[in-house]
Amino acid sequence: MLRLIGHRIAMSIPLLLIVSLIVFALEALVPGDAARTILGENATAQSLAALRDQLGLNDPWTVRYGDWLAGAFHGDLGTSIISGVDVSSSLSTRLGVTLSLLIPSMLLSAVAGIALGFASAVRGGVLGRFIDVVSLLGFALPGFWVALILVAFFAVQLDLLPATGYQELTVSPGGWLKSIILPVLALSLHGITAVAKQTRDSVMEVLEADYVKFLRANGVSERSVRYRHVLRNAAIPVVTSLGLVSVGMLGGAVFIENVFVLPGLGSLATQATLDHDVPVILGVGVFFTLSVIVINLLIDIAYGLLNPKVRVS
Amino acid sequence: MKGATTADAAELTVSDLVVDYPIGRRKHRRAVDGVSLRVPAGRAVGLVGESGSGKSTVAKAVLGMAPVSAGQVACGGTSLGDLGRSGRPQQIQVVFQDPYSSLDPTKTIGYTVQEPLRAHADSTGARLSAAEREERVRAMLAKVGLPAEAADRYPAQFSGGQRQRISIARALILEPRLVICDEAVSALDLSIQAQILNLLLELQQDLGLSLLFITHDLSVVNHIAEDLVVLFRGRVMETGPAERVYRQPQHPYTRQLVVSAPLPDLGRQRTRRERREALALPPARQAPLGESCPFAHRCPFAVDRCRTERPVLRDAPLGGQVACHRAEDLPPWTDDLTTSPEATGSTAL
Amino acid sequence: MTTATESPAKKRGIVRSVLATWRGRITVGFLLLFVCCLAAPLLAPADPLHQDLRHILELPSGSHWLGTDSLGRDVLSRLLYGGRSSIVGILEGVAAHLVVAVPLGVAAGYLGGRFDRYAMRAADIVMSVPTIVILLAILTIFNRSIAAAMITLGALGASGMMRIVRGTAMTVRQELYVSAAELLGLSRTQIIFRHILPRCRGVIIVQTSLFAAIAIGIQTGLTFLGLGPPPPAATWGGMVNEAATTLTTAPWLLVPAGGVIALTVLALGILGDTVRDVTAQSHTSSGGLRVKPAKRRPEAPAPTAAPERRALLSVRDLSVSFLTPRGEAEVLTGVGFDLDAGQTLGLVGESGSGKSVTARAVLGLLEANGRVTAGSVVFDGQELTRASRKELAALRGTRIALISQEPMVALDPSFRIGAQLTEIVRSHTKMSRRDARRRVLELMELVELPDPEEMARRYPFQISGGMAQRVAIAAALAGSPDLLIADEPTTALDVTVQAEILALLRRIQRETGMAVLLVTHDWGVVADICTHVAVMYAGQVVESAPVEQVFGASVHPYTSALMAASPDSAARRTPIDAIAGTVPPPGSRLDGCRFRDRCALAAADCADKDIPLLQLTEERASRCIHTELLQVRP
Repeated sequence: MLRLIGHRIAMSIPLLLIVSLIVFALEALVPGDAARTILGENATAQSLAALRDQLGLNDPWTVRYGDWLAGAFHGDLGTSIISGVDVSSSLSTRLGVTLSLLIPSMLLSAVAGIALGFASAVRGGVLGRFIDVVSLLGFALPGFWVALILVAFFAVQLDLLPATGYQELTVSPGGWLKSIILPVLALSLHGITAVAKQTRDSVMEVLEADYVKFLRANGVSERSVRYRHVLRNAAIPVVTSLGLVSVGMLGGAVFIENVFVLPGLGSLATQATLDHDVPVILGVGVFFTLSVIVINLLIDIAYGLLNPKVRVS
Repeated sequence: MKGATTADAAELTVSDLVVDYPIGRRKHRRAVDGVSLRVPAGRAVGLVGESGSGKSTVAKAVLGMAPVSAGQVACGGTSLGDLGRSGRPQQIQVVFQDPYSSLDPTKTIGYTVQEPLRAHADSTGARLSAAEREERVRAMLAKVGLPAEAADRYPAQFSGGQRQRISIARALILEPRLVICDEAVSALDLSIQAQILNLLLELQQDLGLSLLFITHDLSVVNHIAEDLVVLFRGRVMETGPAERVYRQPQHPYTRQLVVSAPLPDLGRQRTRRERREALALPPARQAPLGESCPFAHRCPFAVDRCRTERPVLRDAPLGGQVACHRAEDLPPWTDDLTTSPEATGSTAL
Repeated sequence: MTTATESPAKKRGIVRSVLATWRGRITVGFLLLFVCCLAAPLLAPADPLHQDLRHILELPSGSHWLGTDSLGRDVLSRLLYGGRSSIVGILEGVAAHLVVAVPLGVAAGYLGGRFDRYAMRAADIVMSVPTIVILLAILTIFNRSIAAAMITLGALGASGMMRIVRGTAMTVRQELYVSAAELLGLSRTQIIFRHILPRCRGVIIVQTSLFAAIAIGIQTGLTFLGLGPPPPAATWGGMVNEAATTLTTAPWLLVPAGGVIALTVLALGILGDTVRDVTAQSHTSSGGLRVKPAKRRPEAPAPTAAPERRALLSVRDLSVSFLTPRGEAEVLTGVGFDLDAGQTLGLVGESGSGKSVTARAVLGLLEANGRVTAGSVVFDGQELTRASRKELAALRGTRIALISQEPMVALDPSFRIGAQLTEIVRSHTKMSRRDARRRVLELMELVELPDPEEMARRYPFQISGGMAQRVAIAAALAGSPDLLIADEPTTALDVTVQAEILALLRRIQRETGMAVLLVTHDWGVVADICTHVAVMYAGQVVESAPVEQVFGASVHPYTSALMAASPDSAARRTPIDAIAGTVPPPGSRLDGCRFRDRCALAAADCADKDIPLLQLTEERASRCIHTELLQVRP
């Protein structure tokens, strides 16, 4: 178990290197570059060359990557080429927004997904079919479109919640809550339904297992059979799907932040992409990669807790 | 095919076979520990043992599917390594236990039974025309008791017993000299098992096949085999003519195996039960294999020597071979099959 | 499993099987329509870029079937052109996905070893790469080329399909027919193409359609963000984005683009599900079918002659049906027997005879797709077929307990043995944890488990099958039941272990006087432990009697034929008296006597009518009308 966690953590370093290397190498191939973005289409060749020199864009990309890496080890992710702002600090100001979106969405997916899926598997009937239909919809409807529909209904039509914008939790807890309700709903719809479907399938399978029959046949109460034994044994595939859903949410956040004009990492990355702002993209890349590593680590720990075979071997 | 070989030129010889399966990176588990056996030409030899005895591993080693650490496997005097991947199929074929996983569900029966012919043609260049192949398949299906139309159908349309007939047809189509039956009837119901045993017996006698019959079921192996090899924890405990081993077991393990198998006869089973209880020891931890008798922890006759010195296979007092320090000291054995009263339709010998 | 769900279904290609379902037909039809977008230049009613500022934001009409957008362009035409770029994107992505995933997956699964380890390690790493960041980078580099993004997505997303294909290939590699093919000297390539790939086809199609659905989502998302072809080019995502700007004035515009995206993803998703359903051999015993719970209780059985003698367990005319994909199949027909305290009744038969179903029906533990259709199960005066869930729960464990065939899967793999036993003990009698623990150790000693303290700390996967069956027996004994139902309790065990377990059962029965209902196919086990026998064939009891009488001279031709089929009954290396044919599955059972087509004594009148169970003496019954012929045989 500890070895597994150690293995995960050890793997995270090459992973970060690989992701940053890929981004750097790819950006180096960019036909347009930051200098052209800053100066516009009509800039002269001399002014472009001068700016490139000033930004250090004339060095080979390997050299630039080495410089970046050296800085990154000290927590310095460089500065934005466009705005000149320190990347680490602009990441940290925007981090709160993205986490305000991601963490509630993940929790909501887990809680609502497992509850719905479990209820539909145990009850079956109408609820089961309802879950089936909703999970198909959750699978089919693109998140950004759902977000727009939510805006059209709750913000434009009913005027209950703000259509766009973000409020700091520390500034106004009520405002924060209002500003994230719609984005979180839009982002977690897919997650809830995916987790619900997996829970339903896996609970139904465990309900047919021999040991469930054996426990029932020898007098263990239905309550204990369901909540102690079935839920526990059905949990492993559910945890896997939770992991996948959470990783997928990182990508989803990029779209959702753009719809709701939330000043988070996703909108930062989109803008940086349009601007060829390499340091910013790398910074976001590092954060996203770290998030994936943390999620996988949590999933591994959950496996260990749930599956005694992992724990004792 | 039969008369050409003498008893000395044994068809299949396995000598001092050792098989280790790796566990993790550095450790390994010894599944077969110095097993030797012979399947003479045209003879049916039974390899009997419980789970973990290594009986299926011996089969895999003969088929070249197990990591052999030491020892020799030879067929008709040629070692298996020299026989090679393309030579073996013509000499040795196999029928597996599970009739469901033995057949590719996406292929017709005709394809499955033909496949050995095609593979053989690929490796030797001796190509048969499609019509010839189909004729051989039809003839083989008839031999195992299936209609010719079966060739066009898929495995899902056949029952377990019929599938086992198909597996036998596939095994025999290259006319091998030796067929290994790895628990070939264990998954079948009693009435179907009897059909398949009859078929195997008939084919063995008609074609002069050598048969290595691997099973955990003493009554099955005693019915079909002429010689028996008893395995326990990867080692040979006792060998000899089946009749003698079954009725006059000279190894304490064989004795326990015999009295543990319940007989479908009230009187005889009562006798067996009493004898078993007399031999039984309370459950004990299995001692690690090493320089000891693998059965010492469960043997009522074990002495200190059994725990410190590995018994070698040697000639037994009543014929055959036995690996027991105390073979001569065991109490005499009365055969419960001949002494107890004759009952409904049971063995008459 | 003796529920006869073995499928005699005709083998069909995947495509034809999918088209045989209505879901398959609708989704495939829709996807064909979608493919028509490729012909957008021919089909579109108008130029997608043609602006008509006099007719902006119009609702659907005859001239503009789906209305016009904020620049007065025809929405339908823009949808068709947008669809064309989506299809191209998907095809590129899917191609990259398959090229990477299938060869790697098949090779890793089939070859195993080092290649597998490295491939899996690489897949692990790729799975941890945040795809979105790479996609954004690719889009900048290749100047908003959706093709480049989709190909990257296909390759990066391939680790998921690769794992699944690998898993399937590994399963297939374990199949004996692959071993058989290897033994024929076929090369690895031949084996992969002939035997491995055909079996992976189903999962590949499923995964491809799921990936295509995801790719549509991503493709439209990226164009929504404006990262695709720049305006005014028509893209589905771009149309949603444009609609967002006129959200307040013309909400209709959200519908066509969003709807068509959703329908396409939906169609791909459903297609995947349909393919999975038609290719998966249903692995759950109920095949996903359930009987409505309300139907579970049978109509009150016609009061058969008041039970003369009150047995502990009395089963009368019990019929059980299972709902299968091909309709309802009657698995048990009018099963009846009695069992008294201290007795052991052997329920003997081959697979398909219904013996295990009978045992489960007594406990009210049929699979979700099974139900009792008629008859009664009376236990100690209480009718069980009509008992409520609560009443049944009160009986289980304390009055009737169960041990089953596969001891290893009868124990919950997630809990230590001690914890499981403690829970069962405490569910019968309220007692403190400490007392329960003491009782558990007592029970473990009762079933002769060596070193109970240490054994209690182990998990089920850390003990042998024989030990697991002892644990299961301890669990069953925890409530001191009056009746123990043992469903093939020794079939999965070695013969020496079987003898120990049978001896244990006999000892416990002697000490407690409980009744045992033992399901078995082994006449040796019957001879060893049973006092009474009920022989079952094709869902019926064909003979029942005390064990001495059955072994002495049976009164049904099936019983004697089955005993004669044992290899112990024939001389060494001579043909055994086998019974020709096989046990008929439910649905193809004969009218009249169900055994007559395999019976040596069958006569014309055997087919006339259903044969009742004839009571020959007080203890002896047979479902044969020609027992006199049997009696005269030597």
